[in-house]
Amino acid sequence: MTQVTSGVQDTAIPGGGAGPDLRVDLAPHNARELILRNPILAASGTFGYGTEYSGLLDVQALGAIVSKGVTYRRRRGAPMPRIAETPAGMLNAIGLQNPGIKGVIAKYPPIWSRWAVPVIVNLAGDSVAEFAEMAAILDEVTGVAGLELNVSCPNVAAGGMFFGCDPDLAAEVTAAVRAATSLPVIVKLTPNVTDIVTIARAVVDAGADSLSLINTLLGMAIDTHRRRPVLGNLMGGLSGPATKPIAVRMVYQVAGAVEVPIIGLGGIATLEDALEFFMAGATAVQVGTATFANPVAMPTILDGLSQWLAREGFSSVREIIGLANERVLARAAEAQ
Amino acid sequence: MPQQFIARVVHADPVLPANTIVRLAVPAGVAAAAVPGQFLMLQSGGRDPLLPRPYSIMRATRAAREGGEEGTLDLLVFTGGRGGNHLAEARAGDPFPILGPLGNGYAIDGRMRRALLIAVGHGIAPIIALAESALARGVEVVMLVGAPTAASLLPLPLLPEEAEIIVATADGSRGHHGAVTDLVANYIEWTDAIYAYAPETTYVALRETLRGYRGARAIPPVQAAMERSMACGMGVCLGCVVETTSGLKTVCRDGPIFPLDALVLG
Ligand SMILES: Cc1cc2nc3c(=O)[nH]c(=O)nc-3n(C[C@H](O)[C@H](O)[C@H](O)COP(=O)(O)OP(=O)(O)OC[C@H]3O[C@@H](n4cnc5c(N)ncnc54)[C@H](O)[C@@H]3O)c2cc1C
Ligand SMILES: Cc1cc2nc3c(=O)[nH]c(=O)nc-3n(C[C@H](O)[C@H](O)[C@H](O)COP(=O)(O)O)c2cc1C
Ligand code: FES
Repeated sequence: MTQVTSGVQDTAIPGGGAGPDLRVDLAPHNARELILRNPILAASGTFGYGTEYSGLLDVQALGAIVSKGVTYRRRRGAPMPRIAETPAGMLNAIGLQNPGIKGVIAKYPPIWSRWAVPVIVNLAGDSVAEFAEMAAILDEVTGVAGLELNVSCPNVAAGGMFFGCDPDLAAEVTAAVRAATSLPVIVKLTPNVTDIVTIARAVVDAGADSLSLINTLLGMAIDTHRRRPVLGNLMGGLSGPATKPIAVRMVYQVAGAVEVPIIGLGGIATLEDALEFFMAGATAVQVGTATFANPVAMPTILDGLSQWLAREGFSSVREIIGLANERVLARAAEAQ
Repeated sequence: MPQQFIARVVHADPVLPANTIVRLAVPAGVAAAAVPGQFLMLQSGGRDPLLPRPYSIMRATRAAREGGEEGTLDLLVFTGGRGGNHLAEARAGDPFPILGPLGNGYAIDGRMRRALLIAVGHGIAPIIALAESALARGVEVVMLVGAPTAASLLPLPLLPEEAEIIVATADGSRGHHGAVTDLVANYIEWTDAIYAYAPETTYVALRETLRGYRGARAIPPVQAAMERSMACGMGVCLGCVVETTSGLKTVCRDGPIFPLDALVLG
């Protein structure tokens, strides 16, 4: 059977109870580890800081939670309207409204540190220095299990160029964060590039423990009645089911090219969707927009995954990673 | 605390060409918890449209049933849009996944004796809920109801019987010819509080009327509902914010009801 990630076996936490083993390792080469009980994560910006949905679903049963994007200073965010529904998707331009890193640290890590579910903090810097500074601040904060770098934001210092669109800039951010913290570092890739594989390779070489993809696709909608763009920010990020085929394709390409674990996301709403990502080469998945349409989408996918694996005769979710991806399969065979 | 549950349609009654009242059977606890001004997010269950739609609770009841209690919630649905049509075309027994009740709802001060309620458009739905709740506590209620034409006004039997209802239509086809806010000045000295569910233009006019008051009484406090397109309803997406005197607030969680004084209107 294919074994793409190996850390879970090596660290040998005895597989708890009956049913397939759902554990995945998102930082196999990092001493601080990021081993999740299961591979279903809440995506950044769609689950707040983890506290908001606690009465509606068993938040502790998720694989991990990725926080709303945090910036160095507090941000007011974009002008309204900030969201627009589109066919099988939605556009958002929230503009990273958040209380800033100090505000977040004062409020949430004390809560997170009491939780069983790991919380990964999503960071959005205006400059390489800001990314590194935030990573250094979070390095010793109890309750923070890892970092996810949102390199889709514009680099103010470099004239607003997007970090994630340039392999050198993306690598520079990754290396700076790597040097500032020993926490597991996930780099979240933007799909708004010509060649995502080049960016993926660059950030892996710069020290990323794993990659998450994809962030939203840059899009736009026009209100024909008002004869103006719908969003206050004019353009916004497209998410939801409409984006899934693009996300699956990118996960497939990147998983074939790099050896670190891939966290797949983009339009996942059902078990079937999640399975596509695993088979394309993802080690874990994140669910975003689907939670808005159905707050219990994640627990439903998780239950379904467990049952599906058992029914199909798999003893671990790790056995299905890359099943539809020749390159991942070949690499796994070589490693045996 | 909001719940995620599956409601069943009891009946969907078209009451006007563009309005259907949908009665939903819901868990008794949901009906018991609902406060006037709160709303539900009605999900499409994976069909189109993708995002859930917010609907105000027009009436909440609880009834004893074999083996326990059941609740019902009535919604007033304006048809024409995709979500609205989907709901209005529902048949008895159809399941609807729902999240709610959501938002803060109107606050009723226990010492209040008289209340002026202002409803425009689908704002009549939560204002009916509020009127019934206030009347049940012995509060005297005057409702100012605004609509474009007489034909778009809900039939009288659907409105609370004990409330005094005063109508304003934009075309003058019934009641006062003009806006509901033209009538507010008559009640400033009468009422203890004002409750409104209307478009922002109404609030701007309301504020001007109140500021123009030169009488001896203190200006009554106003609680006003805001609306924004929504995605999550839980305060996480930050897609539904409004500007207030204490910064940005989410309509879905911090609202939809705000003190009029706190709103920075565009
Ligand atoms: C807190 C709250 C309570 C509401 N209560 C009721 C109610 O009791 N009865 C009722 O009929 N409607 C109510 N609405 C409005 C209802 O949710 C909208 O009519 C609905 O979102 C439009 O959806 P649709 O699918 O019918 O139309 P669509 O086909 O989706 O859209 C029609 C147009 O309306 C716009 N739109 C979408 N959402 C909103 C919105 N929230 N406000 C204004 N425009 C919007 C769309 O952008 C589109 O241009 C409420 C809205 C809010 C925010
Ligand atoms: C309202 C909203 C806010 C988001 N905020 C962030 C954010 O702060 N940081 C980030 O990296 N991604 C953010 N995203 C992107 C999501 O995390 C995710 O990459 C994207 O929505 C695709 O997944 P989905 O189709 O499952 O939603 C946001 C998405 C939405 C819809
Ligand atoms: S609808 Fe998401 S924050 Fe209000």
